[in-house]
Amino acid sequence: MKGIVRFFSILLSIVLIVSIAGLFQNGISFSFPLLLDEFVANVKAITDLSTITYESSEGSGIERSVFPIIFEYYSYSLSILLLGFVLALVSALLLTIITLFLPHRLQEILKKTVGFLEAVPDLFIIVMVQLAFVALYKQTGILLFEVVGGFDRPLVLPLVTFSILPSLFLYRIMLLIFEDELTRPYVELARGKGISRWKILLKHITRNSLVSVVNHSKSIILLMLTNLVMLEIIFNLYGITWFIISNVSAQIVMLSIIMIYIPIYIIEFVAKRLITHFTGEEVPS
Amino acid sequence: MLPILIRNKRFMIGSSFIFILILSSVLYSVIADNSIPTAEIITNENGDIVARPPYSPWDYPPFGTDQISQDLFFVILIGAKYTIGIALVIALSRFLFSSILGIFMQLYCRSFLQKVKPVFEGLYYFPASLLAYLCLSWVLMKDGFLDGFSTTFTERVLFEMVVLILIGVPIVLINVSKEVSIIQKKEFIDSVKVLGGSRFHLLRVHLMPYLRPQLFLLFVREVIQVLLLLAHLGILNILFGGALLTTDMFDKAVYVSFSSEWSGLIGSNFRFLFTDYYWIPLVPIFCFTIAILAFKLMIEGFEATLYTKACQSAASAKVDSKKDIKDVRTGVRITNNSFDYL
Repeated sequence: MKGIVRFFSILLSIVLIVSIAGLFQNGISFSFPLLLDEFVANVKAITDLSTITYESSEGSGIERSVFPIIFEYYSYSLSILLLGFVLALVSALLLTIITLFLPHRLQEILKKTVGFLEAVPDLFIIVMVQLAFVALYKQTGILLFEVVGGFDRPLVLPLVTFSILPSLFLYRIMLLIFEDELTRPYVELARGKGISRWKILLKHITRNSLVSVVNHSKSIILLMLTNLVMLEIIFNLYGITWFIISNVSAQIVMLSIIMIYIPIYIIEFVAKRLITHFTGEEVPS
Repeated sequence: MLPILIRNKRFMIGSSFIFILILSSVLYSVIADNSIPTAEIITNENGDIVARPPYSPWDYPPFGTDQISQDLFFVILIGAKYTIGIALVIALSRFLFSSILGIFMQLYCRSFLQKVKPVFEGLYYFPASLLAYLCLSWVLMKDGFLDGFSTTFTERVLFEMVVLILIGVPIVLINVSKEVSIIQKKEFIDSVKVLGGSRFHLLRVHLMPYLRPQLFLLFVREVIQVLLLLAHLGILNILFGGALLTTDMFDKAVYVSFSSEWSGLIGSNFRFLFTDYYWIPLVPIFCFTIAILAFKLMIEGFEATLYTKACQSAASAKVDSKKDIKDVRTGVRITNNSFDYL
């Protein structure tokens, strides 16, 4: 029940924010009656989704309903977002486990470098990857992946580029959480019982730490959302943010944000339930 | 605090880089009046053209020239004070607004804060660049397409500043109030309350020593966020103060920025990225990266000094110094909000 109330309050908050932003579509004017009108109009648009339209080709003046065409863009973006997160999670987990077997001094150096590297802007990484592949193509004539998108919607290269930054973030978070977990008493007990370091790390610590990682994953997914905008614009991928940028209207933005918000909310909700089920720990929202 | 900070290499490298960059940029505009040297066409003794601009960074160090043969190094240098200045101003106002409001609301009307919070919760799901684009695209871009802007330059700059500030305020406010509430849970706060300290006394004497370093970190993080946002908006062709639509030498429609501000340089030159002149947009992107990393170095250095300070104070308490230092080290338990600033 509480979850449902929260869901709708965030939904209304999204509509409100879009309504405020929507006031500036024809000039700089702000007044509360206008805001109220805009808000009511947006709520109406949500209840009757077929009224949300876009200009089918720029300047033509033909208005078409965004359904069903938006689903093509949306499913592509969502799959990049979620697959990117899974890829980042797996690679961060592998890196963390490898790191924990390295000598202590090397670990400290790695931690410092990663903390520094994660500040590198997404923009820079995306552009560099693309330039590298173009250069490779020019030198050798090998086109490893389709570099610039369009309607055929490439997957591999954008996905790899996309998951670099989140895996750095996750890697740093996981290192901290794993080290934190290593100081717990049960690890000492397990060592005392003569269980090997590998087994403790892989079986117990990984399982217990993943719970905390899930707690932080929401802020990482939201960070990835920001990166997704840049990825789609620079790679020219026909995803949802590309659709928004080429048809700027408050209602399309609202619809897209809500469509992205719903799966994130559901995943968060289910993950919390699962954690409570398996560990008995109540996860604060 | 200050002596330890000066001895910290990372903090000093980061801050002095930013300081020197702004200083030299301002000095250059005072001394040389923002004149940009241009590169000449190179001819050999017969008068044949050997090379013509744009020169690559290897032919014309350090940054090469752009398509109208301006030396990119000086373009970047002139733009530095605008870009970093804008970022500092926006971040500072975001920070001041939200920290004053956040601390005040957390101390005096917490229940109201709890009620307001859900209103802004949706903001987390908006990519900042997308929301800024929605607010700004008409005023800064489309308005100027047909027959010039209907607003003046100052109006547009003010509007953009206000939008970029307001977009950040709610989230920073929530973060500040979270910081305050973490300190409020400490044991000595209860003693202060029992002994009859007013809330203002509590804030001034007991909260501020803990809050000050956290607030500084928050501010520098905000500067990084704003710099990123500016770079993203540059890609989306929202140039600071509005874009002018003109035609270039190939009669193609291009957006031109009013100043040599970095995000404008990215936006107006981005189409060169996949040509042979890829360095023209790459140079400002690279400079953004360097500036952001310099700020990040400041954060890292500052956090390291905080850590050593905590260790020192634990050591000087000397009941059982080794154990206490260990406590400081392991005492940084990871909480649910530890990474919210991401």
